Amino acid sequence: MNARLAAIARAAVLPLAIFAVWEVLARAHALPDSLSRPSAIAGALGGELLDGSLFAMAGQTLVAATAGWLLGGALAIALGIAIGTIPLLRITVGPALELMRSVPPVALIPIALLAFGLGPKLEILMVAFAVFWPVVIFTAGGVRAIDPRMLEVARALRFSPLERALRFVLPAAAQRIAVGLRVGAGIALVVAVTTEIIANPSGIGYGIAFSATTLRPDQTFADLLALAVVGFAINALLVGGERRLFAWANA
Amino acid sequence: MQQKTLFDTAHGVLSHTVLDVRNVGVTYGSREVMHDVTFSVTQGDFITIVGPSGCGKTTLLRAMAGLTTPTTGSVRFKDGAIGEPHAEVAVVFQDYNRALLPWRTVSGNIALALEARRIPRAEHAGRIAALLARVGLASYADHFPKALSGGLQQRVQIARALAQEPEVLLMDEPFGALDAMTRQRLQDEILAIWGSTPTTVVFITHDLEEAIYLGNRIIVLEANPGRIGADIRVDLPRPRNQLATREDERFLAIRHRLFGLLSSE
Repeated sequence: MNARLAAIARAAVLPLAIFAVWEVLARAHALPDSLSRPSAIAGALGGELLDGSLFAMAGQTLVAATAGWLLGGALAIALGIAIGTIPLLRITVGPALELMRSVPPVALIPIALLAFGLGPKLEILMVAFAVFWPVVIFTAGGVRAIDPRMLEVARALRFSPLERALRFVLPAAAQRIAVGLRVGAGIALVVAVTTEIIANPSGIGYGIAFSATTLRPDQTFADLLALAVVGFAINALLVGGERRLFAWANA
Repeated sequence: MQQKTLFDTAHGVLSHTVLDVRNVGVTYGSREVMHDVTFSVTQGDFITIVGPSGCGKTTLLRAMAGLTTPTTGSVRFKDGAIGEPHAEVAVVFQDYNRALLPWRTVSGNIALALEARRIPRAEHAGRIAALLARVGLASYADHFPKALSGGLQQRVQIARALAQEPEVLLMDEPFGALDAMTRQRLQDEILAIWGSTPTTVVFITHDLEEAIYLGNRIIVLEANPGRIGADIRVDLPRPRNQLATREDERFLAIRHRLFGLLSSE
């Protein structure tokens, strides 16, 4: 436990030093007012926490990002398994996927706005689109990496194609699929917030845009800080989940 | 333990052919790896197949398992031709670390065979416990394969094959990757298992002594292309014993003969 506290203390040194220097410079008027200062940011953060607005915004962002992540992830796992299993599909669909993948998701916002209008539907679909690519690629890769011997065992035991997929292919690819989903989760948060800043007035993204345009940089920084914490927590949660789920790999 | 009455074909008492390998040839592209191999496996027999690397031992076993379709000829189980794996024919692969599912425990890996046979869930625990006891894994039920030594992992694979309750057990150099002591223990255990069940065993090895020690009959394969070089009856008494059997004059005589056959290549 002491070692853990020491690790936290060491990790806190750099941010605290930056905040200290920032505070001093800001009070000496050596920085533009638009950069606010840590004490004001802490005050804004406290205020948003106390009146609950921060939780409401984070909740909106999390719900939209999670919905998009699940939608895009589920479709991607299904397609990834198909592509990984059926060579014909890999040859025909693969190149088109590569082309689509190189389009930055955010570049689709204007056209998506026309199609879906402002609102949570747009945000969820944007997130789903962005999450889809890493998950499809990791899933197809995981499926293709299965040891042929293992599939031979499945054949020797005379399992049906569906049983093979559920008992052998999916578990064998699960570790890579999980990595794809974790990468996708990071992307989901980025795309969700970006969409909120540009096209869906809700969530932390809107909070950031709104506070900046109303000249409340302390609030903007408070929201950014909250966003960092949310992103960190999501990643830690997924890493922890993977560790528990794949304990057998480190036996 | 390993007493088993064998009815000699010559006496015509009771002998059924379980596997019939007829004129099997395998060609990959323009390379002929197996040429016109014919022999039949009698029910309850323990046959070892020995030969140098490249003689097609594994190809032959895969054809018998229904995992490879021969280019010419056929393999028949009892009355039907084997084109796909047969429920009554179980395979034990040499590379246990690739043939076990790493995300399933020892019990879970054995359960796989029960699931394949649609055995009701309620019966799994009892059957698995009995199988674990039989291969000496009782205290490893909840371990993951990665946590076990090679010898223990191979026992898991053997238990999984036994869970299929097959008529024929095909073993592809199952002890080839194990150290000498472990190998001898497993040799005796597989003999004990064979002796206490009506199972027929076809056992592939590149180890001459292992072939003699285990088998009732040795099929010697020659290489390029793989073909039968000799078919030898082993009239060593059972139960076999790691010291006495290996020092038996008949053992040494067969060893000399095999050595001559395989080194003349």
